[in-house]
Amino acid sequence: MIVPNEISTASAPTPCRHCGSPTPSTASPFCCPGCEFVHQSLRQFGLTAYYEVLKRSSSSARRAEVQPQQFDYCEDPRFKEAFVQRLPDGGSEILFFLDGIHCAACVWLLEKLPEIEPGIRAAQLKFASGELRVRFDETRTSPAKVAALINSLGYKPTAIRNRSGESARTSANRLFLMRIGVAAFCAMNIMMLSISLYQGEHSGIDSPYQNLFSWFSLALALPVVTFSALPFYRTALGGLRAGVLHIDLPIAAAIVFGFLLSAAHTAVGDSSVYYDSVAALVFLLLVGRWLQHRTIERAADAHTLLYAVSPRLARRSGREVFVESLQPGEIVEVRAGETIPVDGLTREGSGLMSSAILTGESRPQSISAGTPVFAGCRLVTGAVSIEVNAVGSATRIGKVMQSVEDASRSRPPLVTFLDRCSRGFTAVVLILALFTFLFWAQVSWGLALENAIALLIVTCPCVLAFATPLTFSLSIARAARRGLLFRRAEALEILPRARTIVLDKTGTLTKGAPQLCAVRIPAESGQMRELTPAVFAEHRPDLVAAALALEHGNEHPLAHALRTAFSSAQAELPNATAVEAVPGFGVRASLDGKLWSIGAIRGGKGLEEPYSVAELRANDSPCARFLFQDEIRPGARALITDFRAEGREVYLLSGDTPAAVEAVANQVGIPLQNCRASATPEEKAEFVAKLQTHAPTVMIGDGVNDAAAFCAAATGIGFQGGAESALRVADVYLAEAHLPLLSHAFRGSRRVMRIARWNLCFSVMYNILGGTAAMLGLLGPLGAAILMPLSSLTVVSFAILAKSFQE
Amino acid sequence: MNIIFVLLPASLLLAGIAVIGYLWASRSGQFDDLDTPALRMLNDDVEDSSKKKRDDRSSSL
Repeated sequence: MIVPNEISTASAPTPCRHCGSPTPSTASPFCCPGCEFVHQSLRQFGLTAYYEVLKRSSSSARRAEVQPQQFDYCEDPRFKEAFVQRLPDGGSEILFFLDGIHCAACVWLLEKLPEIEPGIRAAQLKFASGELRVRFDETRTSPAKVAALINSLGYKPTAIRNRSGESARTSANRLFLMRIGVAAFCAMNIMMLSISLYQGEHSGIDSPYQNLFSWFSLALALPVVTFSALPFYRTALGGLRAGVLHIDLPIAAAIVFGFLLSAAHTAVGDSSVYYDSVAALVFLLLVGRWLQHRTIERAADAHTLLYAVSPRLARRSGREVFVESLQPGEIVEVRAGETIPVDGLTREGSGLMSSAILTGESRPQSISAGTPVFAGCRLVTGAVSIEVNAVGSATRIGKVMQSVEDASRSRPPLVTFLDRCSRGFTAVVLILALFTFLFWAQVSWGLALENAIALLIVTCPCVLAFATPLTFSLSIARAARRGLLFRRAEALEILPRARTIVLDKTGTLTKGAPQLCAVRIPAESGQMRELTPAVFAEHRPDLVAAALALEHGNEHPLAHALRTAFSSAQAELPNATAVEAVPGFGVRASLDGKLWSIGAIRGGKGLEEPYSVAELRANDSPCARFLFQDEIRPGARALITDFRAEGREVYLLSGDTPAAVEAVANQVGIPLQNCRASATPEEKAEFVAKLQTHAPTVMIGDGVNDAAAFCAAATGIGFQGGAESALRVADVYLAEAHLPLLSHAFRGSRRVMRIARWNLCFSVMYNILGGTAAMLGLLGPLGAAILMPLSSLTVVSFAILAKSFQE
Repeated sequence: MNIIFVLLPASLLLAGIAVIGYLWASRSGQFDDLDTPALRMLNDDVEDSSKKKRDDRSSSL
């Protein structure tokens, strides 16, 4: 009799030798041909230490989504002209965007390229953007070889050009870092000298030494005031010219007047000098500004995104040509397993096409003469000739990518928390400073100046400029360690405010691949009996063997699912002869003399509707029906319940059929009126945009078909799996397909905002107290100079010690 | 304590050399990518063992 425990241990799959995911059968130590290919390449190049590095960096390997291919298009002179740069020292350089970068081991592996290929001089990976810069010698190797090598290591390369404005941005960034460095050096040395001066104020200091320290402090303050502080002067003056009071105006005033006053004192031998406050102020503010701008630039390039998901080459009359050189009306040929390169109309042939990339659903549709096809879709089986309608950025997927690029560039800067706080602040401070000056001018000019400056120094916008970005940066770093990658700090602010959540179905709420959940066989009574796969395998191993033999080598998702479900029954499979494809159904073959066939059919009304169904026939009479369903991810129901308990409205958008959407919605608890089925990527974006006009909306999805919707929402959360490159436009990215991580994202961001708000309260209190003291003449610039760094320190400590994203 | 009149400028000069070094490094793009070097650091130990294996392999051919 069946003992369930025994069965489950017997069918426990061994982990893939390369990536560790379960292997579908005990025949091969790998889970897919991609992993096998990469593993072999690693052995060939002597790079098996990769697995060591992987273990050390405690990250998990990913399934290698590559296959051996030629990169002959890289030899085309047009390609070389566009993508290969000549360097002054005679070498050549090419920039690739890589799909599949996810950990330190990737860095290690790719930077080993010079060691395995003599013609490659250097390979440098920029982890954040997935860009690999390869410098090579054209006489000893070629771009095609380089691309093929990168591919064999497990990363799909797409050649890209340097983004426009990139060099300007880089040099601006470098200049900024230089300003920070100079300010840091000078501020710290000035502080060292200030200690002596303060002590002198307290217990007396001889005049020559006082002068020495004073003058040197002035000299050190000069680079700060003339070089490091330039950005503040520029924005302050620019604001004045535009008639706006920018927050940099009181800062610039404090710096300039503070320095001038101190210089005047130094000249006459007075020891009340404030170079340390001025320098420290500049340093801290610069760092704050830098932290704010450091959140990685996500200006997605439509061109790169497009060629990361669709091929560069197409086959015309048997020869390979650049896709961009195709004209409408020409005919291209596509074979099974290949990605369709153009939008067009099927002329000849038939097969199954998976439009997962556009609809997100893995159920392939059958195509034949007259069916329109789209670039980016995969031809699962069959062979077709396609008449070209549109190419490159004119294809449907090209347009989606273009809208993604447009949206990510022109995103209106959110009125962030910080902006709102600093709006009134500037005006208030300036008015008060002026008032203080005029008030004390009645007593003495010197005192008036001092108190006004004290006020400007004390009302340090350090919290706004420094502590809040620091809080955000730290939280983002902590979240990243748990697999939550925030690519825009503003997402931390939007998530708690989101009132509407839109979820994609396949791949997000569900695991994304069909799984065998039941088998129905005709019983003696004429009715259908339903069995679990395990029971079926036990009772009818002959049918299992027949099914597996028929589906051998088939790339159809249902075939995969069958192989996974019956992975333990890999023993003696009957020999399949006279294998032929049955159009519109599946495959037919002769097994040990008997004629068998298996194929996908439409489920009957009612019970079978939400399932994907495959039928096994012996001599054309059905002997078993396999029911597949996309399994719901664990934690889905709890997640929806949490969202609704927090008062958020949850919607479900999908490209799948209404029946499937309904089934999932019922299982996770989303009300049916909030669901939309059969949605195209364009429709998804439209729907989200409409919701966004009512309330801040968050879009959660896992594929290219969600990319446009991400940009329409206030913020988007991308899930691991599917086309990674498209997910780079999402503001938040879950490196693990783990739903509870989503609740974590919302909880964590709420905490971060709470800390930021508390810091702001503290700063307001401090400003009121300190400002009042300065205005009343109680503080003086010296006191202000001491108080300001103290307050900054307190606020920074709050930021560091706070526990966000900790559990 | 008169020595400080010499020491102070001298020490600032020495420190100034460090600043010049920093400015040069910044200019030549060493700080353009601040994320990847952190990851590269983790890989150093494994370097030697793999290089050794490859050298052995090539020398034995």
